[in-house]
Amino acid sequence: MRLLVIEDATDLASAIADFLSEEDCLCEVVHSYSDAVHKIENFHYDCFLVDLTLPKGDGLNLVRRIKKMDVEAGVLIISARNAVGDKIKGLEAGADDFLAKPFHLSELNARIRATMRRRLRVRRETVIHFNEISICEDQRVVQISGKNISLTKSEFRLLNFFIINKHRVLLKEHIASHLLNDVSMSIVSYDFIYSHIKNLRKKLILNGAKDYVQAVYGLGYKFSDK
Amino acid sequence: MKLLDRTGLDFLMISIVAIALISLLLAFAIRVAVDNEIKNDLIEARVVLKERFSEDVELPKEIRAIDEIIEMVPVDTIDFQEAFQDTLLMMLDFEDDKPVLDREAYVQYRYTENINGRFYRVTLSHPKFETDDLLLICMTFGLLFLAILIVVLNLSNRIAAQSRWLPFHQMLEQIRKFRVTEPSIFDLQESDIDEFSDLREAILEMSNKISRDYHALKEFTDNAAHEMQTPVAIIQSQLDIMVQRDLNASSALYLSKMQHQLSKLKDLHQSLLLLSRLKSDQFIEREWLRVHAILAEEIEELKPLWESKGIALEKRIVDCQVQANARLLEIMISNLLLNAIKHNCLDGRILLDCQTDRLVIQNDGPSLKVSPDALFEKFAKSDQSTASNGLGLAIVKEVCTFHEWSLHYSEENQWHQVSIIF
Repeated sequence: MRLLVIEDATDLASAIADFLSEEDCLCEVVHSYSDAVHKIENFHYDCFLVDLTLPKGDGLNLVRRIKKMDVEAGVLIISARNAVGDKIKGLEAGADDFLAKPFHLSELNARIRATMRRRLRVRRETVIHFNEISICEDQRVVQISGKNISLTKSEFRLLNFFIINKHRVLLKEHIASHLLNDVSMSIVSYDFIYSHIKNLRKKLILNGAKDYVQAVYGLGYKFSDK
Repeated sequence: MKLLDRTGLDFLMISIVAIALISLLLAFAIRVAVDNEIKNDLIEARVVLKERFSEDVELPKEIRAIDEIIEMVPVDTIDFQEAFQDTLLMMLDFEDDKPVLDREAYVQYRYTENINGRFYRVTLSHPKFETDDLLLICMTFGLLFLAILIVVLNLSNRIAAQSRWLPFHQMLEQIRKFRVTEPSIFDLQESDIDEFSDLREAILEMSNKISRDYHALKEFTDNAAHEMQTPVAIIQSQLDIMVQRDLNASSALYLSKMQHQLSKLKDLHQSLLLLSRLKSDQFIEREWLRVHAILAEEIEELKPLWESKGIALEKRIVDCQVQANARLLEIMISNLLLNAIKHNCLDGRILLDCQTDRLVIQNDGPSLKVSPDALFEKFAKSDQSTASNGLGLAIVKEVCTFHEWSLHYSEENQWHQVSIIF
């Protein structure tokens, strides 16, 4: 997958590229409106990350331009302006999703994957595989070695998030804010994720999967077979 | 008391005092004038008398003219000075055909007259009661006239004031409607009365200044908030990259602490941003919303939280519709639920009661350490050590104020109740 990151904050842009490039994903970064226009018109990308507030130009115009060039491309807006109006304008311009700054890179990754899955739904299988586990987000089905297992909604979201961000360290905060759809304002403790992780692990092992959930020091967890 | 009544009353008091003084003066003046007139009459009468009696030889002892009583007593010498004096005379009067003696006031003029070589002590008495009647009539008409004048003036002033005070009442109405958050400009009518036109100018100047300052401050807050988003986003992204590296346990601990504080900073920032924007145009849009549906959604959203804490959630929910801003209502319900979960005990209870006109959220939890009044204030924490930013309930309160809902809190035996009446 080819991805273009249009973001004027260079440190943020490079961190995004660094984080996402570990996947099957080729990331390019531009910092200005004019560079973005040049890239959009001369190269092909599957997905775009667009910052709305660029120094010399409106990100919304870029979104419209992208959609005019390639209606199939996935577009994700990342913006510091988190007003309802901005969000609606962005979606109306043709963006698939809107992510307010600041965000976790793992959450950004999950959003990009979800966007791409929606885009590719017509053409391709939307099931993700991880060894013996396969997960289909649209139908909310999880199979282990071809056998359906039942998970609660939270457990399902947790597993999906883990597999999308496989081999990466996920902090407690990342997992909590993903599970709570980012309503996690002023949460006292993230303890609640432990019980969900414990239950998920138990169900996976019970149904014949290996234990892929690894605790990483006091930081968080990693879903990996390495 | 209205200004008009106040001034009217003052006017009336002053008028009464003034009338009393004027009537006294008037009565005195009339009295003096009439007395002088009587004295002049009596002096004239003396001249006439002398001419008349010079011809006659024999004089009667007492003569009654129309008004005056003339008494003449022959004397040998001039034994006293001529003088005027007030006196009371006993007069025979008839009341219901019966003779009655009555005292009546007279002015007497005494003098000694030489008539045909003989001295007479003459006493001319002129009744005063006629002048008393005159005085009474004068005073009555005068007072009546003044009273009518006062009433008419007062009434006409009142009627005129209705239209004269119109600009003032209009200004008052507009000031009442003034909201610093709304961009509406005052539409005040010009007045030809100096005070009102001064007031109008002062109000316009003041409101413009307030609006300008408010918008400048708001813009500053907005910009400051946005400027903060990017550095926070960058720190977060660097942290996310860093934790992917191979870390030793102590580095991981530091990173974990950094992430924890960064999350708190983000929450605090989001909350403050929301509070500062609450009254902006952004949330002005209102629609009919189904509270029970939003409540159900939020319960589902927060399920991972309350489920893991073993909280038993009881619901008594009926259809409830309110006109509100969708985003704010969601935030409010979410914050209330979060609060009920956060301050709950392990295996506690939450009771949600949603009726057509109110939402009541009850929960178990240790007693408050702050006063219930301070609970909804910004940065009020029941426990300083908690990670809570102390803005959740302040936001709830602001949302309620914004929609003009009433918010109540009570606690009984560690059973807390927050109710919102739409």
